[in-house]
Amino acid sequence: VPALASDEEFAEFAAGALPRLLRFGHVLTGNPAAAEDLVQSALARALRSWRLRRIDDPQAFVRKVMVNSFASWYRRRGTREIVTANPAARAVTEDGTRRVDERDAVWRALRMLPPRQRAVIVLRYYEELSELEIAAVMGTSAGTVKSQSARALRRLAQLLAVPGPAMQPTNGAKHD
Amino acid sequence: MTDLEDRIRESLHDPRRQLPVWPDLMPRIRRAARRQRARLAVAIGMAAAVIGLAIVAPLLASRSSTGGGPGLSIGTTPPPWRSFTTPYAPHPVISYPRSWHVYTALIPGVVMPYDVVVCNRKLDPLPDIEGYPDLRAVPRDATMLLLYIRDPVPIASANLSGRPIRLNGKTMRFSDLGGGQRNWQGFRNFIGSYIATSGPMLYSIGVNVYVGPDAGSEWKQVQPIVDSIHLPGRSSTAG
Repeated sequence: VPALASDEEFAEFAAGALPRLLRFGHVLTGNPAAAEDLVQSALARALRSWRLRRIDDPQAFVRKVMVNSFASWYRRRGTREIVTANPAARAVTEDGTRRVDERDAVWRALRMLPPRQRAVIVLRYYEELSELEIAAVMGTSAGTVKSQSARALRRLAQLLAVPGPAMQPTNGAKHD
Repeated sequence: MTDLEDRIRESLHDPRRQLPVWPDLMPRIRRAARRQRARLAVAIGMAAAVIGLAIVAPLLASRSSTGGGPGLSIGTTPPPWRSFTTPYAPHPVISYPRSWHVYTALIPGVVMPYDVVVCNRKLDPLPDIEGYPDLRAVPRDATMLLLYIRDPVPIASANLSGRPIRLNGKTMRFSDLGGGQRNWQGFRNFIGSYIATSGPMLYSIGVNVYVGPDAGSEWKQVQPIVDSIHLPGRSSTAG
């Protein structure tokens, strides 16, 4: 049965892509729960399109849905992200503490960017996409991507150069 | 900047950010797909209501402004825009052909989500839209309407003095169509919005009209809509 075979193919794709998609969702949203919601929603949508045989590159399709859904969610909900300490769950050794602190500082700074700027940064430095490819994913022009990227990098440089109260790790902060 | 870029890359590739995979992957995706289909069904119902209201609202406004009677009553709760009068002349009454195809398209858009697509040509497959419509599925001789409801915003952010206002980066007019024209994948795209308020919030119903380069007689069926879309200070942008 073609539909069943198609579902099996999709399951194979989804199982293979899931770790990378979850991670992409995590770096995009900065929040594990939001990342899971985003991936689940995008995969469900991809499944519906897959059954209609409307997808050529499922990985690119899901990534595109995730990026645009992420920006859309923020806009619709008027979300203002509250920056809190967000160290990763896994413990680290003393030797790695400084390096981990540095990564966490960058992570927190990324979470302070507007969603579309963050998406540009993630697509550029995590997915290693070109400006043209990012523009295609986000449905905008390469020029807009370039300017958003420049603004995001300037903002990150400011945040990381001069730690303000929101950027300073606090003792006893609530971890997620 | 290179150092910053390296730090960003290192942070984004931090192995501690990996999330555990789901053991129930496909059941989970299928459940989510079923929920999306259910929401889609609800959206279809709402879209039908939106189209009905878009047709009825100008009628109500023109009847009340010309003193032609007490006006129609819709249910027990009056729609938010019932208590407002437009400072502009009434627009032509818009009638949508009964034969038009109505689709829904959930678009996590770059600009905004659309809720319904009305097209005078059958679209196969449906436009699979991420942000802006993918008009490759639309025949070049088609005319397509996209209607959507934008999220409400606090009324304090808008100036309802009767002048054109800026909202969400677009020029709109109170209880009126306002907007502009641009080209999108060879299609002419006309943009407009109806605006109304309810309590402390301001709502808007958006209208996007896409006219294919080969559009023929059917184009005339929506020309009244496009003719009524005009930029502040201009009589019309219709081409």
